[in-house]
Amino acid sequence: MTAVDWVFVALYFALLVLIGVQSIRRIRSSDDFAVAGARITWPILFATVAASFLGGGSAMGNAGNVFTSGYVFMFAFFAFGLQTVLVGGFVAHKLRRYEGAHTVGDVMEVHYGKGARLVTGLLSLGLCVGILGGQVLAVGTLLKTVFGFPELVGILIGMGIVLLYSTFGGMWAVVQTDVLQFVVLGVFIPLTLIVGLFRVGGPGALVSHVSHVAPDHLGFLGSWTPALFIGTFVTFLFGETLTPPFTQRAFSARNPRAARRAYLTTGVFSLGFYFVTATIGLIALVLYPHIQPDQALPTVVLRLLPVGVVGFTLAALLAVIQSTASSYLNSTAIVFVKDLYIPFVRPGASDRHRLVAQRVVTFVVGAAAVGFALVAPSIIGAFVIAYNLWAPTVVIPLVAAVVWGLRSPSAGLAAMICGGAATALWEWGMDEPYGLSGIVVGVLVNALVFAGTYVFAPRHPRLLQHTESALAVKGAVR
Amino acid sequence: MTALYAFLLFAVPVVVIVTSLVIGVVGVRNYVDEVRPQKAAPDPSGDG
Repeated sequence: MTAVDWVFVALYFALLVLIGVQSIRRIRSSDDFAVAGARITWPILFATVAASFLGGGSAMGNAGNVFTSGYVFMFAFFAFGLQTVLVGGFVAHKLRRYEGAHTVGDVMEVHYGKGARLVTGLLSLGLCVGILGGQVLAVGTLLKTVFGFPELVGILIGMGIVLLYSTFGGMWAVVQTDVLQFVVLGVFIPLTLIVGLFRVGGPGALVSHVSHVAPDHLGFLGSWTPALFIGTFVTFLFGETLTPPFTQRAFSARNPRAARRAYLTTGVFSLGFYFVTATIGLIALVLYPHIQPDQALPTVVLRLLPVGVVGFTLAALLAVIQSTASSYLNSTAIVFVKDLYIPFVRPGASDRHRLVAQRVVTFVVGAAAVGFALVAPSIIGAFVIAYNLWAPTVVIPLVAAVVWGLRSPSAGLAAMICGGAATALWEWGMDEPYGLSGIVVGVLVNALVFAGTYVFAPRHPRLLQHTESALAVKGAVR
Repeated sequence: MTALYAFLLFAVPVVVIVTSLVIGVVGVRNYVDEVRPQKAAPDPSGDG
């Protein structure tokens, strides 16, 4: 790291602060804080969905796993992109029609009642805090590895700025900083691949070297069995489907068409991004075969890139983590206030009260995530349980509600409880028999119980999408 | 196969970079529009 690189990293941080400060003036209501006034155009929505979606897992994680297993991991990872395309094609534009909705719980209550909102709210909260905590740890690790900062200093610098702009600027600040972070990561990480390819000797030389060092790294299945590939693919396909920040972004769209286009574009774009980070993993394997796999991407950046570009690319790696962290931090506050605090503690609270509560919760949760990451990282691990329970509980009832307008409190709750219980039993009680992920089993049980209960138990008439007034969310302030 | 791979290795990063730059330009214009002070709407009554 030279002085020039430090200047570029500092410039990136300064831009984040500037955008955050400018966004404070835009926040006049809880609606502005939660969904940026619901008037985001599709290119901006695409940037914010992509920046939030492409986290540490799709950059450092993907490169490290391809370093270890080869392109087979990238092909399994493509499930995330496919999932986003499917959401864009069938769900995102219909989500935007829920007038006044801020959270997944808002939609679930319309179709499955208050109990479903409570369960969804608790799961959303656990999932958001777990992923936020993971990003906090990743910021600390990156700044410690690359800059040599003590973990405490790294986390305080990396997360302090995120906490600042998320607390005061809400969704406006998160969206605007996401655009900057999207551009930085979308330019400098592919640039790293191009420089790396030249250093290896070109694509032909890369193929030749990889074939020599690890012959199965370029094959479709590599050394994986078909069962392992299918299990991993399905887990990735459902694992992060319609999680709170992504659903929240559909509510932020200017109109249903903008939501659809943004999600479709993000899905296709993410496939290209995964290919880029995966191939950087292979370049690291050829040039630095003895490093730790999770160091593949930072090592290529630090050792191959010229002066100046290193600073920007390290900013890109920070951007990957920070954009995801700010999205989950913002969602945590919105979920807590909208799904738990207002309906169950302070119904009828004024909009001013909601806005203050959202800001206080953002700050407290952000500070707590930093504290847990420093003092007791295992607590963050506990929250990741909610990540594994998300798809087997919420996704099928949510899609059935949004796409087909189905309404049945008994079917919704029964499916959520049985899907969650099946996952817990399979994953933690039986220790994943046959190597099959608990998410796959839970999603199957969830779908079967939902369909069975919906057919045989009492249900309400379907809510058709064209009757938009019927989709107005209870207690909406818009 | 290697030719296709070589093509992808250059085409994909270039497409990702160009897409990001285009979005960056749109983002800057959007940001400038957002932070620019709003002009007061004309009074429809004409009374000032």
